[in-house]
Amino acid sequence: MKQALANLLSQVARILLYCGGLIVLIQASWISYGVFMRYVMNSPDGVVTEATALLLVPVAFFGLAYALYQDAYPKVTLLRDSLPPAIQAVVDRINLLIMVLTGAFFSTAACKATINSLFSGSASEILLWPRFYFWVPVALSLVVFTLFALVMLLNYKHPATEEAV
Amino acid sequence: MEWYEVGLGLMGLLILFISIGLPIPFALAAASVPFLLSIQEFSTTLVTAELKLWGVWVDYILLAVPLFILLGELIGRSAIGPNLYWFMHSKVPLRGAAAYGSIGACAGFGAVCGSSMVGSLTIGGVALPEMLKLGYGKRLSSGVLAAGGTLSVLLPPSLILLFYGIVTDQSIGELFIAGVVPGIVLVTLFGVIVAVWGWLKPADIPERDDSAQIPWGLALAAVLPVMIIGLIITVSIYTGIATPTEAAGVSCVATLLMAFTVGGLNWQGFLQALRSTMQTMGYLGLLLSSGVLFGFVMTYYQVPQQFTEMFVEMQLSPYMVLAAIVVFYVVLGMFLEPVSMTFITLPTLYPLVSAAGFDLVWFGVVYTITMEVAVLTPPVGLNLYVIQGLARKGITIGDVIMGCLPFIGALIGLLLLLVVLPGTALWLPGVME
Repeated sequence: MKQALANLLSQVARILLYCGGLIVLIQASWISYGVFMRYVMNSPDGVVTEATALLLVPVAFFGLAYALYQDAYPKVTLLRDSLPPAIQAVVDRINLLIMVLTGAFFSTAACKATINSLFSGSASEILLWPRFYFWVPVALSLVVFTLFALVMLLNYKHPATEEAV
Repeated sequence: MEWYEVGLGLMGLLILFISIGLPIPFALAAASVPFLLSIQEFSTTLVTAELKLWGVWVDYILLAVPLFILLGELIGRSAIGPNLYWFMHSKVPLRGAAAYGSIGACAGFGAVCGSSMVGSLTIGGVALPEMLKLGYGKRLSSGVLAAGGTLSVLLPPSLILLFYGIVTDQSIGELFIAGVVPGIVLVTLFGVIVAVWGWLKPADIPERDDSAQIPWGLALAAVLPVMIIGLIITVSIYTGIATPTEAAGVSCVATLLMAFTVGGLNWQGFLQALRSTMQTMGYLGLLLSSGVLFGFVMTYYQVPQQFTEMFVEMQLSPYMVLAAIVVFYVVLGMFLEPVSMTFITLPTLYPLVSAAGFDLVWFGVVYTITMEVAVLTPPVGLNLYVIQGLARKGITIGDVIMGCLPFIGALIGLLLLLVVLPGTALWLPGVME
């Protein structure tokens, strides 16, 4: 059950990741189009700066869960590696617990912001896109990350034990 | 609470969390939240987090980050980097061509990629086995490639200079341009080191390189994209035609087109580039958000201001302050990677540099060079492990460290040159103005 949930979350993490990648490509193309319109057509695109900057908000969080899945967060493990395996396992669990709590804190903030944004109008004064367009993906990314970290905590096995298996 | 209690408490918690192996973005957030809760109610803390999450990321300047990361990844997954290296050493009729070619290829790659690790990995991946096969010494081969990767963060576009500009609110364009001359000086110094190495240890450099000549068509397919992308970035920023973010966007699209058409990029490589970009963004997303929360607590208690005042009252000479900061970063760099260091320490330290009377664009270049030293110093020198990982059986981490020592010496020499002649960094931005 827990493994099935972990597999499901890793699939969702991958989908979010590609959504982010697609947005980066859109941003690059839109900015290039904006430069082309300004210098070649002499008709500047009035929304490109605002729109692409707003699109950065979801891009910053879409890769969270995938980075966790790939163990890509920078960390210093000199002290942890020098400890006996049993204590390493305790330290790893504490670290995962702090990651879950941090994720839960940011998720709560993002979910609250998403609910508030349903009634708060547009995302900026220049662009009338609803603010929740941007908060929904952020909240989703943070919730998926938190759940993923929680499943990792519940499924935790010391790396040496996993290798032996 | 007094500012020093908060400062010590925050740093103490942060060091504790980092030392037990908690990933740095979470260590920053976990150290900040208890202090945030001492200032505000939980519900207000959530609002603060919400405002910081939104405020930090709706930023057009920051948009250059994913675009430059994607650009570097696309080049890294294509054949442009390996072919650039092949061109650089097979068309240079010199003893030690493969070593000089490695430096040249790293510099060329640095002109289109802002990450030192991607630079080392891409050029090192092809150059290291080739150099070992040709009979170059292990230490020279690994040292030149680990150090060569650092050229990527001095020559524009540089992710470290970009983050530095964001934290210190300096012009990214000026910072990029300020890195050009020191970057060229560093390339020259690295070349001199190879020449002196060959003179002192002739056995480490074969008399002649018996490697196949690159066909001219393939050479052009590597050199032209690098030149075009490098020129788009540098010239557009230098002349003021485009902002760094626009330069990043246009060069990203140009790279995508050239990587697919002449660079041999395939669909799998493209997807890998997207995944790597978003994976890096995932960690940066939380790192910056946590860093801003950390900064909020520090600023609320006026830790950076009080810290600066305390140093000013000591009446230390500006160069003493600078030396203390550089030594601090070199030591810290042995344990932390550059991006984390930037967001943890720079908000507190740059007011001190400014109060000491140093130009912040000039200090940006000095800071970047200390970060280059950081990625070459154990135990957490990223480039050391990247290069050692490329030839686990043939090269020990000790070989890489020993090989890097002369190049670290060159970086320190460049630091001294910048102190004696600040114009090395400031002349070109001055001309730009």
